[in-house]
Parts: sequence; structure tokens; C-alpha cells
Amino acid sequence: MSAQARRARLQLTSPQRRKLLKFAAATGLLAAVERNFALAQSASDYKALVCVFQQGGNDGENTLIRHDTAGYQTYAATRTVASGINIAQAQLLPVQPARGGPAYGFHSACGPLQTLFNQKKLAVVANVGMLAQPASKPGLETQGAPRPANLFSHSDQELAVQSAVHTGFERVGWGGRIADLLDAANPGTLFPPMISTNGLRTYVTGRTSVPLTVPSNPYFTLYSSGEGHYQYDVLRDAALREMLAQSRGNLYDVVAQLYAEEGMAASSVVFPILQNKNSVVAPFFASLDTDVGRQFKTIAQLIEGRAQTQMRRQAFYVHQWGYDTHGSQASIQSGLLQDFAASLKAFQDAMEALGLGGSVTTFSLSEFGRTFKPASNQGTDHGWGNYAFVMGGAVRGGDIYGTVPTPALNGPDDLGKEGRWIPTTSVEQYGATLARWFGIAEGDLPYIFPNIGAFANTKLGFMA
Amino acid sequence: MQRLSEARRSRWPQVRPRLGAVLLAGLFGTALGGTAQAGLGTAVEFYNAKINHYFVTAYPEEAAALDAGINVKGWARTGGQFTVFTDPAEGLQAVCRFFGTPGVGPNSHFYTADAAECAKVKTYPAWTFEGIAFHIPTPANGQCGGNYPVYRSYYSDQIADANHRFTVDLTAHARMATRRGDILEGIVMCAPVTDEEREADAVRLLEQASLGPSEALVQEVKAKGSEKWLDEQVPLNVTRYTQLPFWEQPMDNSLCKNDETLPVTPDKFCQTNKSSPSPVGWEFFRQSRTAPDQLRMRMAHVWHQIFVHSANGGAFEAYANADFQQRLRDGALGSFENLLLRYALAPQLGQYQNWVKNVPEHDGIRPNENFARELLQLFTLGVNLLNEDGRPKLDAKGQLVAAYSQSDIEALARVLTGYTFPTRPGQTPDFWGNRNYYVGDMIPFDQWHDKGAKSALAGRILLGAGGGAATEMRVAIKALVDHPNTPPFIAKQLIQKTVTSSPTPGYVARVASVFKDNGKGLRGDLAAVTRAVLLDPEARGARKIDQEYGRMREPALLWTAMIRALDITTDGMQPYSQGWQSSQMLFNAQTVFNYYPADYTLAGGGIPAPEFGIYTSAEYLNRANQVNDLLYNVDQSWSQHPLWGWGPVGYVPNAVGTRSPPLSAFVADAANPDALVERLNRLLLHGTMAPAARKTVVNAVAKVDAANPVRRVKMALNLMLVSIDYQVQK
Repeated sequence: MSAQARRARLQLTSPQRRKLLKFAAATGLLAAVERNFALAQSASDYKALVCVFQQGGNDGENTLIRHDTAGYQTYAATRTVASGINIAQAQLLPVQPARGGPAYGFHSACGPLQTLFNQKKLAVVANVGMLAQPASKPGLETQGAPRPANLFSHSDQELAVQSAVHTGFERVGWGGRIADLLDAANPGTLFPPMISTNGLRTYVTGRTSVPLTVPSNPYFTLYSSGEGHYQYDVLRDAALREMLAQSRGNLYDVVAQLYAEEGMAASSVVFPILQNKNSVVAPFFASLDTDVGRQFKTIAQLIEGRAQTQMRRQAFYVHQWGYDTHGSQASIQSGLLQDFAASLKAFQDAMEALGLGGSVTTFSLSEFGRTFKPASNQGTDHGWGNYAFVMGGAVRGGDIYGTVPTPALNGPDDLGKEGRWIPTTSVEQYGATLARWFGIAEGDLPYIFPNIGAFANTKLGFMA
Repeated sequence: MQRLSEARRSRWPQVRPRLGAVLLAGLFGTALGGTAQAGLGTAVEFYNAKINHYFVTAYPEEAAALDAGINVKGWARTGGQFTVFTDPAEGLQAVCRFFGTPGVGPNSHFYTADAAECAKVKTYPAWTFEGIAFHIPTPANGQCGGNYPVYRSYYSDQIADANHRFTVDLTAHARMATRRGDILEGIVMCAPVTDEEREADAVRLLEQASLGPSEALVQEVKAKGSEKWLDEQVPLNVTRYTQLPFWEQPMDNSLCKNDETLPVTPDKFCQTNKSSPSPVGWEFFRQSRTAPDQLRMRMAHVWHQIFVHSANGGAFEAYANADFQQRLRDGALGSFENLLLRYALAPQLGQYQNWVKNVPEHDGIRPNENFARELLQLFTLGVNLLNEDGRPKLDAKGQLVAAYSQSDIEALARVLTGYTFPTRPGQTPDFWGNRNYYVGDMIPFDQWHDKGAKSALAGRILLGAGGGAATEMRVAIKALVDHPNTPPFIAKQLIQKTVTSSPTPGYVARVASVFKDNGKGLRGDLAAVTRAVLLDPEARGARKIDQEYGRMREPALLWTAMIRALDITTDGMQPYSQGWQSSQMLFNAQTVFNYYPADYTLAGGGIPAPEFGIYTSAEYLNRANQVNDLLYNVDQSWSQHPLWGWGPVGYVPNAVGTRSPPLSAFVADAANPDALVERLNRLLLHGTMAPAARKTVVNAVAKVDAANPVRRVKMALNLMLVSIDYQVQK
């Protein structure tokens, strides 16, 4: 067996497998869960960290735009009306950052973000992106300074921002590495600490923790084989469990079994939570039967059911597709931002209804921003640094953190001349600020962000 | 010749505890040969993890003793085996079995079918001759003809430990070099192929080369052999998607909605039937059941996951999707360059990749880079320079080397300017005026082409000023076809989407070399390349035992396999719709990176596993529930509904719904659970279901009342289709 294969087996079979098997065996606890549903006490000590990924590269330059006259004119000189992607100044939803500076305007689809910003529950972090080290235009363009591998490629930069590894192919994510460290904070439960509502993206994958994928619908359970055949269902389910517990040599079998066992075990706890007819959080999503809305609703319900999962520290992942707006950007991005903003706001409202407004923090990531300069077909191409958004009661909201790039083609922040901003805040700095709030010890930060030492300031100040 | 390498080290000190084989020798003494019976035998492979040794035995008693752990513990079957003759006959060689002389030689067995080698080793004190173990043919000129080659590899720690491995699994053999540091000694014997093995290989071929095996087709392939069946498949008539008439989305979207008021008819579902790829998806599943050109159907399915077009961002019209997918069927076994050209010039792709109406820099607006980037990254080269065996090239510092730069993309984006939609019948060609129309190829307009000189890919694309759109585009395509990255980049993906997720470098190199030259000087002959993928020794064979072999079934192919194996009547609607939950809604991928990332790996390691990108805890339950519904629920009255039921729905033309499979053929075996499970094991798992899992299924079936034979068949099918053994195709 190669060292690589051995490592995969060790990681995927030994501790996690035992844990899951134990968990599966314990799911005779289903009956107990249901019995205790009404009685359960919520742990007072609770925190959740929710990542929402804007896949494709959100065009930050059209999400938040300078609203003062001079600032807007600079914007409109590059993003001309003729380009098809210009947003009129009158349509912007203005906000004034708390610590001063020029006014900005949100995209007109972002009304809920404007509200959250004004309520100081939403912070903006400017020009976030993956870096190898603090960077400058001459350094990158002429002095051979290191840059992330395969810059501007979707797949590679998605891996980079989700893994917080800039040197190339890495499919273990920084969310997964955070989850690796959560066992001690979750005594007495074997429930997986990381939940994705949209598959096993890199962010959720741990070194030792196995993420759980919960569908964003309420039917996470094995179906019956028909009325009056309960004895056959019992026979079938028992046989499936028996097969899943049998040892396998093939690595694909081993991993497939692992997820299957996890699904069987977790669904028996999750299904009743998602079926809870008395959910306090569900009504907040009543008019949000959208891709992102359903994912946030599922997460809100799982947090509401924390007495059943017995979790105190949980990480979640939401995935929104579609931001790769090379063409017809105006209409596409508008629809996406509307879903994004409304879902965020509904989720924050739901958390406040649970009394967890300050215990749950939601943050955005995107693989890159987009070229400031427009492209043919009313679109934009792949850029680099981008705006990120952080929401929650523990956020020092109503402000913009980091450094907004100079909006000039071939200017000091542009790699090249198309407006691909060289990030001034690396994913590590952004992530470490969030991880600290979540309770990750200082000494564990290098485990989560291997390259954190390359950056001086890892406390950006946007978390209380 | 490495053959005598072990015997040469004939005077090793004995420093290791003799954990295994000495007891075997003690068990059977020198009378080993006496237990052989007339006819065929099976050489079964065992592995001992503690000492990292392999061992084969053709003696059933010895295998049984190892299974039982009598006298010797720690040996487990690897799943590997090959057939041998137990008696001498014309054309067979006697195989001498040696054991390392206790205290002198290594703690290992050695077999040789070479009489001279046998005689020589007999003279070495380190080796004790145990007898003639079996008889077997040997290679002629290094080849085994129709027999399975038995490969030998040799490991030695240069001190005291040594061990040979004998296997018919070339993947397992090739990997011994890195797993244990073995010297690969090549083919040493030729194992005869039994009837069961021939059948198992036919099932495996159909899992790789068709939309799924059926009992009848298995018998056909078994009778013809893989090569003949493949060769006969290539020229078959192409199954066609129904060509739908041109249709244009009305300016007022409300004029094309789905009207759900009952009774529903196809005409009332404008959005689904005209403005989505659904009818094409339904037809894919409908045709999968009986289409004769299975190889082409499968390869078109493979290509649609490499040359991606999605209604999600691309052409959404049903007629446009039918036309696009037909292009891939037509070109799937032709020339790669032609297929790439037809793909690139499809107006559907122009729309999807924003290169239709892409124009030179003007008024502060740049040429669109979308297609230029993905053409390099996804459709031809990949991001890094590759060796011919698919492994990345490394620079002097051991770093990956980018295959292209941002400036290459910008240059190529300028090449890809000046094309517009085809002209609608009766209209005058007009670059800006030609509206969305997806019949035929896009057309060039040189006045909207970037006339400047261009240079990209280190001079591979060198274009002087003033060139035309069509010429420059073809030059660029040709340069990409000729780029040394393209053969391994494409070869690896073709293997991954048919045979195994983690092909060895040797396998990739063999296919890439056929891509470079089909033997007649032609580059990119896809019929030859497909043949090379499917006839490679790492694809063929009755059973594959390497721990890193196989691929997770795709949701769509799980459905076609069930439709074909169980002869399911379906209009395709439900199999297509189920893809939504499973993240494989055909022709509707979320991004150009497709349903799942081609470079996805198993968590925690670098083991390639593309389809695991959509295999999750939730997906396991999805699949289990789809199988459950198919077997038990689709015919129930409560599962019928005019809009979303499993029976006929009003908006599907000629709807028949999806019916529960007719199981009469299998009911005959229901009285005998073991026979029933074995029959399904052969059809669904080419006889390789793990013994423990097989036992679980047999026991569960036996617990179902024998008076309900259909329920017994369904229980067996349910458990086997949902089993991990089945979900991971090997």
C-alpha cells in the first residue's frame, strides 16, 4: 500500500469509522430523540459558523459601488453604460460606513444587506483573496513574487480559498480543519460537527472529521417499501446496515460505505428535526423557496434542533451556484444577489428568534472577484480580490474593513490592466478573525491556516 | 532476465520469525502434489499484512486451512485468483513450487513454469523443492494469446525478507513497484480462461462500454469476444434524438409557461417541452433500453461530460439541446479534431461560453475570455504540462509547470472573435442582427474579427496580422489537437469515465500513444482510442482486485443500468427527473466544470475519484430510495399523479410512465435464495460480490416468505442494487 493510500485508509477508517459505527449503533436512540423532542433543554453555550460560498466569482464591483459623486464617476468611466453592466447611481442603496469615509451603495437587489448593514449586523471586508504572501503590482508583475497556483482558474481558486492553501491542489478545507478540532467542544455527542447542504465541497472536508451532507429538503430518510410491509422494511434496513458494517479492501468501497453509514445514522436524528411541525425558524423562509433559501432554512432547523444533536459548536456550509457572469451579467447577478441577500436576512432573523443572534456568524467566500473592465457580451472575466460579507450579532457591523482597491485600470492594485485587484487581505487573515471568535485557540490557527505566518495582522477587528 | 533474482540470493541469514509458510510446508509435507485432482483448479491469492507477503495456492485444502486460520494465522484472500490445470497435458508446463529452506532461505514460496529455472533452483541450498504445484501454458514471445497473462513481481529488502507476487491483475501488478518496491518481472505464465470468467468479462465490458449489461447482451458479447463486439459496434447506425423544429422563446415569457390546470397536455407545458432540455433527457433514458449502438451511446455520454454544454447558461431550447447532443453522438467515434471543431462552432456553445458575437477590443470593452480559458483548461490541455503518461511535468524545483498563462488566454480570446449565430432561413446574414438560432454551425464575419497579429502557447499559435476568423480559429484548434498535453489529458478522462478513476500511468500512456497515432499515422482517431481504452489489459479480465480500482457509478448510469438489466418500461421522465436530487440533471450541469469535478479526489488523500464529487451521505439515501421506489412504489395507486407521478404524466408526449420491472425471469429462481442471488451476482456484479455481503443478501432473501417469490426477488434486487459492491463499478 502506498503511503498515500495508507493515509487515506487511516483517516477514513479508523477513528471516524469507529465513531460513526458507534453513532449508528446508538441510533436506537431515535426513539429516545423523538421522546425527548419536547423536553430537551438547549445548551446555553452554543456557537455556529456558517460559510456561504458564491460559486463562480461574484462581481463585487457591482455589488458595492462608491456612491459619492467622484467615486461613482470613476466607476462609470470604466463600467460604461455602453458595456451593458453599468448600474445607475440612482438605483444604488446607499450606506455610510461607521468610521467615516465615502458613502457606498449596495446593488439594488441587496435591500436586506443594506438593512443589516444599517443595523450594524453586517460588515464588509474589502479586497479579500487568496495570496501567497503580501503582494504588490511590481512584485507580481516584474519581480517574480509568488502567487497562488493557477490564478484566475475557477477550479483552482475555489480549491485555494476553500482550503486556504495557495500552492496547489488540496482538497482538505479550512472549515473541515476547524471541524477536526471540535470534538472536545461537543462532549457527549457523536454527531458530525460539519454539515453541508450542497455536497462535499473542499471547505467542508476535514483531515479527520467527516462532513455530513443534508439535503435541503425534509426527506432525509429511507422510504418504506409500501403499506403493510413494515417487516420487510425492517429486514431490508437491517441487511443494509449489516452490509455497510462489513470490511472492504477497495478504497472506493471503504469511502462509499463511510458516507452511507453516516447517512443512515444521521438521518435518524436529522429527519425528525426537519419534520418538526412546530419549528420556530421555518416561517422566516416561507416566501423563500429558493436554492439558497432552502439551504439556510435547513441549517436554521438543524440549529433549532441542537438539543437533539446535542451540539455546542457547529460549522455549516451553503453553496450558491452561478456567479460566473461572462455574459448577460446584469440580469443573472441581480437574481443571485436577491436570493443571497434575502436568505441571509431571513437566517439572521431566524437566529434572533432562537435567541442566537449573537451566537451564529455567517460569512461569504467566492473564488475570486471579476475584472473591473467589462468584456464582450455584457459580462466580466475572472479577477482576484473581492468583497466579502460577514453577518451576525457578534459582528462589528455597519462598516467596511480592509482596504478598498484603487479603482484604476493598470493602477497600483491592478495585476495587468483589466482590473484584477491584487488582494490586500488574504483568506487567512479573514478566516483567522472568524476562527478566533468561534473559539479556536491561538495555537491551533496554523493547523487551520498553514500559511498564516506570512501575514502580520490576523485580527481584522470585524468581530466583537 | 530478472527471474533468478531471488534464487541468486541463496545464502541469507535467517533473522525474521517465520510466520507463515513454514507451517504450510509442515502441514502438507512433501506430498503436496498428491492432492491435485484431474482437470482445472484455481490458484487463490492470499495476503498477510503483518509480513507484507503474498502467497498463491492451487490446493483447495491449503486455501481452506488459510481461510480457517488453522496452524497459520494472518492470511486473507485478496480476491485474486487464476485458473490452472491440475494434470499434465500437451502444451502445458509443470510448475515447480519451492519454499525457502528454513534457517537458510527466505520465508516465502516461489513458483516457476520454466523447467531450466526449476532445475537450477533445485541446486540452491536456500530453496527446498516442494513438488509440482500445477500445470499451465507459458507465454510465446511474451504474449498469452487468449489466456490471461500471469504477472510476477519480486520484492527483497536485501537482507532476509523476500517475496514474489503472482497475479493476473495488471493494475495490481504495476502498482507493486511503488507499494512495496517490487521489481516487475513481467509475464511468466498464461492462465486459461474459464466460461465463468468469459462471462464476467463480458459483463464488465458492458458496464464500461454500454449503458448497461442485460442478460441477452452479455451472452452475445461472451460468444463474440470483446474485440469483435466493439468492432461491430462502431459502424452501427447512429441512434438519433428526435429533431425538433426551430422554436423561439417569445419576448413575453408569460407566453411560454407550464399550465398545470388539469387535464394536462404536452402543449400546455411550453416551458418544459420547448424551453428546456427535458424532452432530450427523457429520450436519452427511453432510448437507453434498446438502442443497438450502445458503444456510441455510452461514449456520447462520456463526451458530453468533457465537451460540456448546459442549458443552465447555454441554449435552453429543447430543439437546440437535441441538436447539440446529436453532434456528440455523431462525432463520438470519429476524429477528435472534427469533434472539437463541431463542438466549438456549435451556436449552443457560442451562447454558453459567450464567444458568439465576441468582438475585438473597442470602447473600453475587452474580448470575452470565457471560451479561450475553458478551451485550454477543460477541453484540450488542462492547467499543467503533462507527461505522456498523464503525470504532471515538474520543473527543476519540483514544481508543476503551468500549461498556459493569462497572456495566452488573452491572445486566444482575440483569435476567437468574429463569429455569430447561423442565419435563419430567408434572412440576410448580419453579424449583430442574427439572433439566437441553433441549427448548423456559427458563421464567421471577418470585419468583426481581431486583425492584429497573435502569438500564444510559446509560438504554437503564431498568426500574422490580417487573418480571417475561420482560418485563425482552425489554426488554433489544430495547434491544440497537436499539443503534447492533449493526448494524455483526454486519454485519462476517457478511462476515468468508463473503466477506473485512478488509471496507472502505464494505462494512460498506452491510450495516449494510440491518440497520437492510430497505427496508420492518424492523430485523434476516437474509434481507435476508445478501443484502446476498453481493450487494455487493465480494463479487461474477469475480476479486478486492486484497492484503487473502479469508479463510483454516476446517477444517470445507475438508472440506465437498471433499465437495461431489468428491462424497465419507461418514457424517461422519472429517471431524468431523479437526476435533480442526485446532482446529475442531464444537460443541465451547474457549471462548465460539469456535474462533478474531473479532478475530485477521495477525502484525505490524493486518490482520484471524480464521481465522489456528488456522492454524499444524502446521495446514498437518494439512491436507496430510488431503487426502493422503482421496485415497490411506482405501480401503487398513490404514486400516480398527472403532474409528478411515476405513471404517465400529462405533459410528456406518448407517456407510459416508469413501470416496476417485469421479474418473471428471476422468479423462477426464487425458491432457492442462493441460486437467485448468484444469478443476480453474475448479471449485476460479474460474480464478484463480497462473500460476506452475498451471505447477508441470501439470508435476508431466505427470511422472506417463500410463498411470495416476487417479494423475494425484489428483496435480493433491492439489497444488491443499493450495495456498495454495486455502486462502485469495478
